[in-house]
Amino acid sequence: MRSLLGALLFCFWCSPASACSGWFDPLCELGRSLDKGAHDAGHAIEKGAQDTGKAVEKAAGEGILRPVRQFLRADQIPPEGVGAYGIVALKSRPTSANKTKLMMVCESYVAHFDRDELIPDTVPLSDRMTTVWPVDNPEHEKAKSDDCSFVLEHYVLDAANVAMADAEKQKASFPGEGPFLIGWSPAASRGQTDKLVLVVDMSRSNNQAMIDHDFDFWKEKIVHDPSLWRDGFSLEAIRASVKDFADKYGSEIVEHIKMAGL
Amino acid sequence: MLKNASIVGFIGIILGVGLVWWVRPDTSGGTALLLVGSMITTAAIAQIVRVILGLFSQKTGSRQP
Repeated sequence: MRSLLGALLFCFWCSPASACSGWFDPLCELGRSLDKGAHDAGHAIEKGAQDTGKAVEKAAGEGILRPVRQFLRADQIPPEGVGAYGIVALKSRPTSANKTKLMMVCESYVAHFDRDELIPDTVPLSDRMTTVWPVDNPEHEKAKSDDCSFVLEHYVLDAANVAMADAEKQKASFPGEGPFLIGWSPAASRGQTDKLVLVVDMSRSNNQAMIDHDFDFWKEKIVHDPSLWRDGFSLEAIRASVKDFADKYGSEIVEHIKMAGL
Repeated sequence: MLKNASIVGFIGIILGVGLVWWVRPDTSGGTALLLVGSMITTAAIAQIVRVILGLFSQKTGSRQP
């Protein structure tokens, strides 16, 4: 109780409302100084909190990359200024064996991303994640109309080979038939060792649904949160693999059981 | 023995349902595969644990005079 009263008296002496006069003046000045200091400190903390809030807000806004697509020539890769970019890497142009699959990949690619031109100019390049499909003539009418036969026939294999070679420097491997989605985040990290390289292997995706899942995964998990995919480990990737496996073989087993008449 | 088998089967079903909930397969065949697969896996693990425990108990039993 005594200490409470003492504190109240001290506050009264030190409050700006109290008059500074007589022999109490030095204490009063001290109180004023303390009050001013506390006031300034409060302002500084408030300003700091506001700045931190703004910084967090800004960071949250910058954290989301806009996934877009571009048909580019090999010499235009990597695209300049973008926040992150990826490439659809094929091991070959269409043959009679893989044409169906590559068409499905192309259709999924076209369906999953907006063209870069459709994104408003207000979105800076640094906020875009561009997935590139390398072609020899991106200005061609058929490329502009997203003709999959054209962009497959005019695919530039060298761009894919260089991308795979660069990713291999960063300990990625490409043992399957592909295609692969290879990404770098940030975009400038390509070719540097120990930088984040993102790889989605579509070697075992042999129907449209599975290829769509791969592009969904690329778009949602990698583009929005690349940290989920560091070192190639992701719980979501495991879930997608188990799902594809169960759907494929479960249906086949059920079919076989039905055929056996059980 | 029958009681043990039913417990193992129950655990397998619970794990299978959990797996189906997590994986969300598109087909009924996928769901069935996950359920049956988890039951078989649980039964196999239970059998392995049983064998190991059996070996362990035999070992400790043989030490007694």
